[in-house]
Amino acid sequence: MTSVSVQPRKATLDPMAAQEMNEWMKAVAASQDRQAFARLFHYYAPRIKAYLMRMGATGQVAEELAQETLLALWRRAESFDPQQASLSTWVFTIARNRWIDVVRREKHPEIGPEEFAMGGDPAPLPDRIYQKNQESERIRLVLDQLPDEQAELIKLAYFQDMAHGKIVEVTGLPLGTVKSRLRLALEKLRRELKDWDYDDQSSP
Amino acid sequence: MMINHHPDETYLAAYASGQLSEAESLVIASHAAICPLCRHGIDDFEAVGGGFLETLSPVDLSFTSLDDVLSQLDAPMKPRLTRPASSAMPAGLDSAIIPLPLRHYLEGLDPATQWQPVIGGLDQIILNVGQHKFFKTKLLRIRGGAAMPQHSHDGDELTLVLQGAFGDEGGHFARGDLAMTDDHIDHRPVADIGIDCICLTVTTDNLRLTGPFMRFLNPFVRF
Repeated sequence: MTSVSVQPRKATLDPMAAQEMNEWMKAVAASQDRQAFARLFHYYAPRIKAYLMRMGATGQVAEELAQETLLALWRRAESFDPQQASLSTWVFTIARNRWIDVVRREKHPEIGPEEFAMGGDPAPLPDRIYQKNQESERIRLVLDQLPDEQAELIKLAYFQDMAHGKIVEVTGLPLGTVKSRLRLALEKLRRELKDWDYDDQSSP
Repeated sequence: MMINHHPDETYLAAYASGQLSEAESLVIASHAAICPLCRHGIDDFEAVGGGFLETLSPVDLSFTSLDDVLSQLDAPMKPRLTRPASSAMPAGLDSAIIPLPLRHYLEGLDPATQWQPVIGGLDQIILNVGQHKFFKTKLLRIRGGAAMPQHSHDGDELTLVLQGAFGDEGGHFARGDLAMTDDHIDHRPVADIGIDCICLTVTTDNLRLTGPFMRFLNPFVRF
């Protein structure tokens, strides 16, 4: 079996670091704390630049968009709600939308707040038992449980310049195989995330 | 309301990671605005994006990068463009059925926009969504009880039911249901008797595509 080239797994933020980031973010929102902002900049801007370069942006464009993303973080700090999403997720969606705006010249239609969802009674869902500020931990645990090959394939799909056929190139797999393996990997990831939601009720 | 037909995981992940065209994203977002299950799925896949962001090896910034941004922190914000608070929907369209993501595109329409007849029992309104002209976005209205001629597709099609219902070889589709067809499917949709069936639909124009992520490998499709 041809295997996906596996890079060493880099750890996501541990719960304490994630908590610290949230504190800095609070300081930015509450008192326009520039030092806290600079710390967030040092963590996120080089990673956003890495993300956008993987999407095919030049170093210069990737850096400009990383700067714009952090500027948006400063200006919209008050609207960040750790109950809705983790800070990294929020930053990821801002960077993603800037990239679509500027590089693709399209928009990313947003779903909108839940209270505007229409259409009668929504299907009932069990309450999510985890707090969104534990989200980094949840994602980390689930990603760590995925086989390396599947985690790497999903990462390629998220973060690779598709127009150049990088997945086929990097994995050496035929397109059909990549497609079906990616689907399986995403389904497994989704299942694991759901299990985490509903099985882990004993954890604080 | 029970939604039975959902986008598969590849569509949810492709939406969350920003890999879909604006037209397809509009359909997925409009479905998720009605479907809490898929909204949560997208939340999960966006969180995966956030988790991956943490794992990327940082790339060095230019020397003055932080100072450049610090010097802009106090610059006045550009005022946000405000849209008209409300705007008339095209005739015969109940605004209560329009999911929030779609609303913006309908408010951008010329107020004089009318349903255009396509064939007996079928009308359409063409929407202008995104830059990529091979994705055609339309509202379709099938009169209650009307049967469409048997047809197959040259490309892929995503259809979200907003009002009423229709049935075809793939099943029965009511409000919130998303029908995904490709060019292998030969079908003959029939609207349920009663209220008109209104759908948001995106078709790819005569293009064989291979799914939400992999289309970027198609040499004719370049983002």
